[in-house]
Amino acid sequence: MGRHKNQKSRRVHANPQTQASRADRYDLYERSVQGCDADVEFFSETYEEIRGRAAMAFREDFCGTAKLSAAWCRSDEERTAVGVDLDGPTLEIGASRNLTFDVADRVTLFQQDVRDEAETKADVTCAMNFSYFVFKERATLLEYLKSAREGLAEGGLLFLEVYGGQEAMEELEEERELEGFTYVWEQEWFDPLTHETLCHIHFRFPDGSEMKQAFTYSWRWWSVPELRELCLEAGFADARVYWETMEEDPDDPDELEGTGEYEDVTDTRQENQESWLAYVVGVK
Amino acid sequence: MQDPAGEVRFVSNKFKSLRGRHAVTLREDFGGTGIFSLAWARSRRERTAHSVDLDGETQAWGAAHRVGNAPAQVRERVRFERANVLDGVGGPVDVAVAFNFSYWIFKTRAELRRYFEVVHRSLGPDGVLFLDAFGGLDVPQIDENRVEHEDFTYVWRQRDYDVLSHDFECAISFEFDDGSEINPAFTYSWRLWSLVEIRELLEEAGFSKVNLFWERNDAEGEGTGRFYLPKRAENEHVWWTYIAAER
Repeated sequence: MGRHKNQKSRRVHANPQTQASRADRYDLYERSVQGCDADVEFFSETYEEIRGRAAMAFREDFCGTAKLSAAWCRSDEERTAVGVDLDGPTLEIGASRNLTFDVADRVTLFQQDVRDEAETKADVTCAMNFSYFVFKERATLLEYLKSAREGLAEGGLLFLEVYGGQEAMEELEEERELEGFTYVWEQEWFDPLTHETLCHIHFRFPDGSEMKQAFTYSWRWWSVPELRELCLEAGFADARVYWETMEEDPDDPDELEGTGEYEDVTDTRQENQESWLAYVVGVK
Repeated sequence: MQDPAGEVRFVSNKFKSLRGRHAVTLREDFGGTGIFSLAWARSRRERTAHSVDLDGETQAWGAAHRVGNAPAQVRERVRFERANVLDGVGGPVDVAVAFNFSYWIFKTRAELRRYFEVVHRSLGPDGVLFLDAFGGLDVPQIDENRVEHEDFTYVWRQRDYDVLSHDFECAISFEFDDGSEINPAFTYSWRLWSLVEIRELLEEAGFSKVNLFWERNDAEGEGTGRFYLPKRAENEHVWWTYIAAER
């Protein structure tokens, strides 16, 4: 989890021989936390289920390197995408890396605040990897949701990715082994008075080197009921919840792990878990 | 589970430090048997208490078994009224309290804000509303806690929790040595509100300043029963604290 908003510092070992010093943090990030094809499939299927037609125009808020926008356009040659991010250098890296010839003329990147007015209307807008958690005040998040709704075409959907559970609300460090490196998610602190939290992504390498605080996030953690209430206040007709289904971990039958599949849980009572992922979907 | 004398001391001390004078008049919302009101009236000679609850039967029990046993000069300063806390009954008070999380029966922002607005209007110019709240890592889930007492066991059950709405169903039961039980003795259908949501709603309702207290732990990490105003806190398995909202 995590994304490169509010990036504060990047410390790379000074020794030019280390794997950490040679690594590209954007590349590591994309490989660690993004599963773009599954995201595109989920957005497409959900839109089609609700609207009975295919979504064509996509908007990726806090898009970073816009890998998801590119994947959206790659999924259908008629599809278009708009990526919005405040960070110019990240957009440039994304443009050169992800906007390949097959999609380059169908993805438009804007370096602007996600609350600024959009030039085109989207069928699907998403804020992935909890990036809207940068809005810590209720009024500010409401302002974002209103402008996101404004930027949707008639019948459009806004997908807000959200995490939670016991583990979301405490200090935590968890490692995940990936091809050639280890992804580390750290929650340095969580404040129960304000729900503010400070989180980092670190990358560790087989040679013992480490890219510490490759990305840092200063967030407010928002709960599902808060997000649903805010969506309705922002004018959305409905705010649905899609919950990641769980299955037995093949390596440890006592543990459950996420399947990467999401199901509509609007009508189901849902228990809290140690750790969960979901989408709150604003329906225009 | 209740320590009314300790809570009165807490409220008295915090009011004094916020407002620079002793609080005299109290309204206890969701007052039940009125034991906080009684402790308030006992704590200083000039203090009066007004205990408001919808449940007349509970009030009658409290009036007979608790307030009724107090000396006349204390008893006469405690008044029960059967009313809805949303009706804003009674005159302006220095202190309003809603304890034991009872205000969590209001499950929507609009309802809880309306309650806070009613309280805000009912306070004197420098009045303060005191609330309690609990939470922590182990709270938003189905769970059971048992506390052994001399002649019975107190059982706290979190019977249901919905992460989509934060609807929270709890119950208290009592079990006895002969195998009998009162199950459930009390049930609660609440929304589990977070401190930040409560603060936002109090501000929206017009309160000028919201103080979130936190319990000070000793070196072993055990609660000391002393509360302070922290810059930041660390989450715990279960915490329980107070909020003081200044008109």
